[in-house]
Amino acid sequence: MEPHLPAEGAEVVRAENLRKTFTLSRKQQRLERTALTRKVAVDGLSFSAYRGEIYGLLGPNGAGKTTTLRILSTLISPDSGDAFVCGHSVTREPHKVRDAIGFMTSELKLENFFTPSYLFDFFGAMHGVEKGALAARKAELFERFGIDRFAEVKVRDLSTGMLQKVSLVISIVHDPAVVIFDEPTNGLDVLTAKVVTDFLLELKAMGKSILLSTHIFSLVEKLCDRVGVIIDGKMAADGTLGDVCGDMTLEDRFFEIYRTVKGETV
Amino acid sequence: MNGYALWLLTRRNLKIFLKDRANVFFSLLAPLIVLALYVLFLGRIQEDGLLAVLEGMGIQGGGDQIAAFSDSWMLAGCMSCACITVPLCACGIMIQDKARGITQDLFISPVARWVTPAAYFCSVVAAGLAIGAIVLAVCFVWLAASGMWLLSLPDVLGCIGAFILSVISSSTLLVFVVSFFRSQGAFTALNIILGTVVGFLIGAYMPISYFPDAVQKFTYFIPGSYTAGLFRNFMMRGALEEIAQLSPAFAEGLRSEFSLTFDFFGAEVGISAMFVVLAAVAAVFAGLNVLAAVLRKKA
Repeated sequence: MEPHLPAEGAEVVRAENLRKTFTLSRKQQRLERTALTRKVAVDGLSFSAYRGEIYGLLGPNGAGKTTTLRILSTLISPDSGDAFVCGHSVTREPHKVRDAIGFMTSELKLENFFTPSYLFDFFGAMHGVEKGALAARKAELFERFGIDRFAEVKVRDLSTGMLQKVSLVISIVHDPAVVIFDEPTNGLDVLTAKVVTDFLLELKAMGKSILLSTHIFSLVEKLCDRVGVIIDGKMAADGTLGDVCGDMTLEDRFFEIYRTVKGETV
Repeated sequence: MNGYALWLLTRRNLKIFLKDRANVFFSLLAPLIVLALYVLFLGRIQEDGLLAVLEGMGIQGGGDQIAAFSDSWMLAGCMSCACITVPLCACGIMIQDKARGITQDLFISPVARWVTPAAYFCSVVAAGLAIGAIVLAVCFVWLAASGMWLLSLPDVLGCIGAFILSVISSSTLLVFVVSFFRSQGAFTALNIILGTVVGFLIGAYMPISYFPDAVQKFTYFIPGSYTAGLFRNFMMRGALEEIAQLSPAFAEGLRSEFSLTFDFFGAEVGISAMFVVLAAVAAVFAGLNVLAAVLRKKA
């Protein structure tokens, strides 16, 4: 069951000169210590990601990573520029883009009263997955991730690790070609974080393309094939880890880039 | 696909609301408070007061008619509160989904953007109708069981019509207001404040005519006042007719004292006008909901 997968090595995500600004509230102005009423969150961002790879957007908080992922997920529209997912424009064909992506965060969003089985069926139906295919996919994914024994257990009675697995499996109920993951291990304990990172590697093995945002260097080094370094909404470096880092560690290279772009040390 | 997704989401929202028993209980707290106050002392005070007035007019008896009138007034208040507080509590799912990021997941599914907000609205209306229908049935059973059933078939149909229109009207208004809320704390505050004051503002605890003139005028701008007005007209009509047989003048005085008709800055607001006001509120806020959704999408 691989209806959405593009050809091996094909470009699955292309961002072209994306720009997004937000109006700052008075509270945000105070927090950011600025008198400006608008903030440029993403400023002319361009990059590509390819099938079967994990692409990491690395940057400090407020760099524009989440905004970029939200544009790619069609949750918000760019002010200018465009992005394409599996060849579909996020501005002109958002329905087709939503059909091709799974969007995840590390937050648990499951209602206590329901069972993993009910929630899987609910989101499957929301994505228009046909009943027979949905049952087969549930059986496959639940077995693969060890959820099958807990399929009819109420969410409130599941362990945190199992909840995370259920949450992740539900996000790919419609077998998307591209998985977008905002801060995959943010706020998770080490055991649950391992569930998530193993899950991402498993998805990659299944031929999925994964786009994630993070500020954790070790996560990029462990998972990502390619990385884009974002600072102040701009792409400061982009390429394979080898291309970007050379013979330096990612952490050292990141701060070198940061100094060059910002003209200041941390 | 969008129609099916609307059905799925509405059912899901409704299930979440109904499975949370505490939420259902709190949605009925205001009507329960009205009932409790009435059973504890308000009913007695009101009946004694009205009987004393009758006696003062030289009319003996009338205890059953006054009891029927008072019970109908209390039940109309309960019903009016329920038409507001149940949809309000059902709106909680909108905040819950927003706070937990579930709205984001729903927006990412390949269904049209209007489906998710429309499903919230449908589930709020459905919750209001489901729980409100039970409250209405309890009201009818109360009147029948206490031997005070004075409602005609048009009264019963009027109650049902007022109930449906009131739930739709308050749902459009509340969904619009709650859509601006972001946090659970802010929503809880709204719930507590509205749940506390709604009984006073629509005259469920005591007739609006007891309030100062400025407060009375303020209540005419609250759609719930027209809901209460309609329920009073249909639930209390039979009892008033019985009282009118004792004293037409007293019955006429009660009609205005208990807000069966309003004097809206010199214009008398009757049953038809009350229906029109509620329908207009529903139409205006439905339009505002659509406008807000379009503006949010553009932002």
